[in-house]
Amino acid sequence: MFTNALEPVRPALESDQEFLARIGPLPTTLNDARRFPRFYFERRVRAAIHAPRHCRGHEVREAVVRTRDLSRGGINLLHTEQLFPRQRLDLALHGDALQTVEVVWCRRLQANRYVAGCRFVEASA
Amino acid sequence: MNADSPQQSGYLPVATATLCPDAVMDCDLFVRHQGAPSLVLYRRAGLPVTEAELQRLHSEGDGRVYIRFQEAENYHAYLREHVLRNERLPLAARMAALRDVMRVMFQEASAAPTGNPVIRLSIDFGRDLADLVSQSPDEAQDLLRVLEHDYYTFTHVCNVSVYCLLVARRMATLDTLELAELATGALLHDLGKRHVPRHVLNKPDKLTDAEWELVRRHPGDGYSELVDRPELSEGQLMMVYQHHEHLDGSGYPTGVLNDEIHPWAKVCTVADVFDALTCQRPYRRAVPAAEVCDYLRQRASTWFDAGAVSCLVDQIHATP
Repeated sequence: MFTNALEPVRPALESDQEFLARIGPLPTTLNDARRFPRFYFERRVRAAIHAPRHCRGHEVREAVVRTRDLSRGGINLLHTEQLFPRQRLDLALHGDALQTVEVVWCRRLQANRYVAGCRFVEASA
Repeated sequence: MNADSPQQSGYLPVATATLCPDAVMDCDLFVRHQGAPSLVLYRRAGLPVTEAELQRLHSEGDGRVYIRFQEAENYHAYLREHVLRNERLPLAARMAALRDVMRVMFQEASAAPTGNPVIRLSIDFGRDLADLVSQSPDEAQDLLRVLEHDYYTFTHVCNVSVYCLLVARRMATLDTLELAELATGALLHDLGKRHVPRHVLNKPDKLTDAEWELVRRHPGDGYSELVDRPELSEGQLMMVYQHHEHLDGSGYPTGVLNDEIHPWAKVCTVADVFDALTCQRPYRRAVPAAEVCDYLRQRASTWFDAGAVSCLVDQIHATP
């Protein structure tokens, strides 16, 4: 399950199907700077997506995003549109209770498919 | 005032050509007498220098007077009021005077724990640069002659700002306000590098994967730091966030394609690459401008915006 610990590997962004079919903890690497272990976590969840902060607006759009993995600190998700650092989403991860996350990074995978790393934040923070 | 090397001991050299007769400067002026090891006070703050005294300074001195670093802001105010719009002075001389004082002020601002002083200065400096380019469009090319090519952060952002202005003037119809915004965006484009350790930025050897990861974070870090500043526009923020993106999606941090990259970011990318390659870096020598132009042209439309490349290359070739 673990990759060669001596080799600093940048985790590749695999195809959705292959990645999302997995369960259990994600492998770690020598150059992994994460604070908490991550676990595969494939769900489709409702999200209220706030406008990127540079748009200066308060528009909130409803969408369904697909989660990839999860840790105590944050969540990795797929979306059809680009997300920007510090942009906020309210995710219905468990029932109707909303969990606010803030985008830390976003990468384009292919047309209309972006992966974003987000951290959990207090809604009022 | 014991100053063998005025710059090292906190004095900024100021070209006497930028002094205006009878205009009052709110900082003390110092001169170096021929053969003397130290500077001596020439004129107290608030007292004007007459036309006759200026003539004497020109003919007998080394063409420079000196002011204390901590009074650079007062000199900047003087430049704004009396020099930057003085058409009797060549544009390049006005630009050089502005650049020299800004270098000192940026150095001081960069040492602050937050980015606020750098942001404030960038807005001021961007406005001054755009003003210079707008008031003398025919001379604007002369600005290229006074650009320096060391690898200090200020030199780089200053050069990128001038290249952006020259390209934008050719590519699009931007008013002075927009040009000022563009110039400020260029001055701020590398703000996120504040968070990259200096030993990584100046490393003469190949970067490790982990070090590359740190460097690749700087557009996102800069954007995150600036995004809540209401005085900055979307275009400026995208210059910070997208200046390493390529049209074919091979850039970073997001890997977005052509249409998703803001036009100002496309201009900034070309200016950034041109300056980065033509300046000497700790890890390689400066590449001749002609070779860099070829490099840009070869990647026009795949990595770089073809219009921006064409405008910049034309400007470079037109500069004697």
